[in-house]
Parts: sequence; structure tokens; C-alpha cells
Amino acid sequence: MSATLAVRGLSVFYGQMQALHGVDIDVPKGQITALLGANGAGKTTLLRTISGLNTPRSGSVRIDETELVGKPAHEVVSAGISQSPEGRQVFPNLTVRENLQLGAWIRKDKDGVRADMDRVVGLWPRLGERLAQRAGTLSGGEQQMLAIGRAMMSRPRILLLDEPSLGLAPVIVAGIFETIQAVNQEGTTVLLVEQNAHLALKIAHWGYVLETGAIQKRAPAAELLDDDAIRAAYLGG
Amino acid sequence: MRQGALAYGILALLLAAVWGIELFLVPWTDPYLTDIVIRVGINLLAVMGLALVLGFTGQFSLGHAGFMAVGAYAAAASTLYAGVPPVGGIVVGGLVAALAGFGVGLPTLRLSGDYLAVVTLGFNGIIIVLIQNSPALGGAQGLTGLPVATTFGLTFTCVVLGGLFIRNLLVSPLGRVFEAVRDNEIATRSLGIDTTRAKVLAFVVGAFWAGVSGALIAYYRSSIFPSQFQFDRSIEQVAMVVLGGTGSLSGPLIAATILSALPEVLRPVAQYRMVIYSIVLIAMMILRPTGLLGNHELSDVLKRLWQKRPGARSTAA
Ligand SMILES: Nc1ncnc2c1ncn2[C@@H]1O[C@H](COP(=O)(O)OP(=O)(O)OP(=O)(O)O)[C@@H](O)[C@H]1O
Ligand SMILES: [Mg+2]
Repeated sequence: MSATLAVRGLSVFYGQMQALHGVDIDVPKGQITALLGANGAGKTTLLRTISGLNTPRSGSVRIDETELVGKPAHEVVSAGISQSPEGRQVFPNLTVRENLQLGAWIRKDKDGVRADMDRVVGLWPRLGERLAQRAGTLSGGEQQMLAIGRAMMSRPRILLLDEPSLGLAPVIVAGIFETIQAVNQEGTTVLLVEQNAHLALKIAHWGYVLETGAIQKRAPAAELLDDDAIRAAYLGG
Repeated sequence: MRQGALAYGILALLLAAVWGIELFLVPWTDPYLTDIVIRVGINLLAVMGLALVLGFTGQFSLGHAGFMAVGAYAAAASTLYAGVPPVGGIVVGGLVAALAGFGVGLPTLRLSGDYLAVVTLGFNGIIIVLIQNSPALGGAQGLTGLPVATTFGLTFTCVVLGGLFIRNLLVSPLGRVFEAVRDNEIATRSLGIDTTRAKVLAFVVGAFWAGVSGALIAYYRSSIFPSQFQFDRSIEQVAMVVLGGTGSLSGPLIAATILSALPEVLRPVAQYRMVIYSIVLIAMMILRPTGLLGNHELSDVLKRLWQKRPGARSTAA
């Protein structure tokens, strides 16, 4: 239930503006890879392009040996990649249960879906207590849990998380990061985009630094935590 | 299995009621009243399709009356040129309108919402111009000599079938997909859902029932005119869905009933109809910005009222 993601020479444009300049990234099987970078560096653009929501001008995205560039978003999910998007984006008018069920849309194994629903509820009992509640009425933290849980419902081999800590209280963030680690230990490969560099690097195996659309650094996460330049730029000294 | 049996039971019950009214009540009812009710029923069919497309799936179709025109003229032509009886003609009208919906929807629904509004608007206009310039379809003078078959019973048989069909679609898992597309299409795509397919499906189903609605018009007064299916009719239907509540099926149907019957009730002041519409619309936007029922169904509202009735046990935990 795990896979390797390899991004090669990925270039993405918005009109005339180039947002990614030949980005190379490896997300090794079974590990957590953190992607750091300032606002506007292109992190969301990279995740959206991997998911097939943006079309790159050039480059390749491969899960194991399968090329994903050119495939529509729904086929990318079938290939084993799902994403919890920036800003949660749960479906406000649907209930928590319906949101989770939509996450499992591509699956046909009803028993497996039920088991995964139990797993998500086991990770976040707060969601379990609110299965029949409309998602728009959840708190910010609960919506973030739901967005991640929804992405897990397709039983992805690779989970893309875009700023799961955004706008949440530290205690909630700590809980979410524990869960990300638990999901990873169950075998899911994770690519984690974060502004909260310290927390991200603490649970990650590898870290990348993206600056204005280009990779500036790649190193084991522990090494980046000790890197003076990184400390200055992303860890607040 | 039990679910299915229940659905068929409800269907049988509703159809029995419709035909009971047709056989035992309509003959003794003022024909003027029956006429209003049939017109309301015809509008209900068109509006329930638009409720699916606009209210639930969030696709701004501004040319729903164009699909009514396609249905009406396809039915009329099948009867006049191929001798198809009215009931068959209604099916033909629905299917041809659905096909037109597919033709308009497939290329357009891939693009963002703004294109759909423009294209459907254009479609409505083009259909009218095509009919006006087609001698075989009677041109601007309209088609005459059609058999009269649209009774209360036939109209409301279609309303019941259409209403149950769309309701079943909406309570199925696909119904959640439609709403997800409306709320956040990108997020829906990112879950592995082919949103274009979902949108086209909603659009084709909506066009089908608009076609049936148009076909009923064709068999109502033995003649049809292109002017019956113009843009103002499409806008009126959008108003009915928005007023009734996007994300509700019963809300738009109630709004359609009120707004279709209103001009009859207000006949003495008919020239102010559009003014009254506008006032009602503005009042609605201020008082109930989410429409009559918002995204709830009539049954939810009644249930809540029932629970809140004086003497009811509190359900609060
Ligand atoms: N749809 C779009 N159209 C035009 N430009 C865009 C679009 N989306 C992003 N951009 C631009 O591309 C660049 C990268 O944006 P992106 O959202 O990928 O950054 P990010 O690293 O995720 O930033 P943040 O940390 O603030 O979320 C920015 O300069 C942004 O303005
Ligand atoms: Mg971002």
C-alpha cells in the first residue's frame, strides 16, 4: 500500500508567469517528505500539478513506473494519489459522513470503505460524534481533520497534504501531526507542504526547500533542522 | 429490496391519486381552474429539471425553455409527420431534448460556469430563430392541427414520474456528487470524481424533463408557437429555482406553483406581473437570501414544525 513518487523537470506557467522552474522531487516509499517554502514559492502549484489539477508545460510525474502527466485528475486518484487541499475545502452542505463517502468514490469494496471510515473515526473521535452534521458547521480544526480523513478514504498510496496546520491552534496542530505520523507508519507515503517548518521536519524523513519556483535544497529532515540558513529563514532563528 | 418495494408503492399511490382526480374530480371542476392546474404542472416538469441542473449541480443554464422548444417541436413533428401518438410523442420529445442537452452540455460543461450561461442563452435564441425560419416547423406562425391529449391525468402522471425520478437520483450517492460539484468543483475532481460526466448527466436529465414539459404543451391546445419558448420563460424558471431554494427540490416546485398561478390570480392587474415578480424577488433576496426553503426539503421543514409543536417532547439532548 505504498509507492514512490518521482517529479522530474516540472515547469508550470500561469499565463506568462512561470510558477515552477524544472522542479525535481523524490518522495520515497513509506516515508514522509516535507516541502518548505515561503508564501508564493509554488508549493500549492506543485501539489495541484501532481494531482492533475494543473497542466505542466513540461516535465514528468511518476508514481512507481506510471506516468501521470496528461492524465485527468480522476485518473490520478485511481493511480493512488490523493490530496487534502490548502484551506480544507470540505463540502459545507454535505454531512461529515457524506464528505468521507465521497472521498471513497472510486472504490468498489464496500467493506473496505466501511473499515476505513471506522479508521478515520478512530483517529478523530470528534468526527465520529458529528457524522450526521453538515460539514460547514464544523470548527476549523474539525474541518481540517475531515479534509485529511476524506483524502485518506480513497486509500491512497501517496497522500499529499497542503498546509494542514493553517490557522489552527497549536494543540490541534500537534494532534493532526501525530495522526499524519500514524497514517505514515501504517504504510502511506506522505508529501507534506508546511509553513510550520519545525513541526514538519520533526516528523519528516526528508525535506525540500522551494524558493520562487525552484528547489534550493534537499536534505534529510534532521539535517535541515540543524541548518543555520534554514533556521534563520523558516524556523524563526 | 424493501426500499424498492416502498418506492413502487409510493409511485402506485400517487398515480392512483392522479387518475382518481382525473376521473372523478376534473369532470366536475371549472375548466378554467383545471387549465391553471395543467399549466402549473407543465411548469413543474421544466422547473424540476432546472432545480437539478442549477439548484443542485450549480450549473447556470439560462436556456431551459430552449429544451422545452426542442421537446415540443420534436413531439409535434413525430405526430404530424410520422403519426406517432401523443404518449409516444412525449417520450420522443424528452429524448430529443435530452440529446440536444448532451450536444450543448458536453463541450460546454468542461469549461467554467460563465461559458455555460452564455452558451445556453445563445442556444435558446438560436432554437427560436431556427424554428421561425423552418417552413416544416410552421415558422413564426406556429404548428397547428395537433391532437389534443394533455389532460390533468397525463400531465400529472409525467409530474409524478419526473418528480420521483429526480428525487431518487438526488438521494442516491450521485446526488451528493452533484452537490459537491456545486459547492467546490476542484475539490470534487481531486477526489477522483469525473465532474464533467456528473454535470453532463444532470444537464441531460434536466433537458429530458424540459422536453417532456414542452411536448405536453404541444398536445395541449393543438398548436404551438416559437414565441412560447423564448428567453423570458427561461429566466422565469431560473427565478423559480432561486426563489424556491437552490439545493431543494420541493422549494422550487412550490415557487413554481405560486409563480405560475400568480398571473392568473392577478389577472385584473396582469400588466404589472413582471413588476410584482421583481418586487417578490427583491423582497425574497432581502428576507430569505437562500430561497423559500434554502437547501431543505418540505418534508424536513414539516418534520421540524411537528417536533416544535406545542406539547411536543423536547428533542434537544
Ligand atoms: N491560478 C493562478 N493564476 C495565476 N497565478 C497563480 C495562480 N495560482 C498561483 N499563482 C501564482 O503562482 C505563484 C505560486 O503560488 P502557490 O499558490 O503555488 O504558492 P504557495 O507556495 O502555495 O504559497 P502559500 O504558502 O502562500 O500557499 C504565486 O506567485 C501565485 O501568485
Ligand atoms: Mg499554498
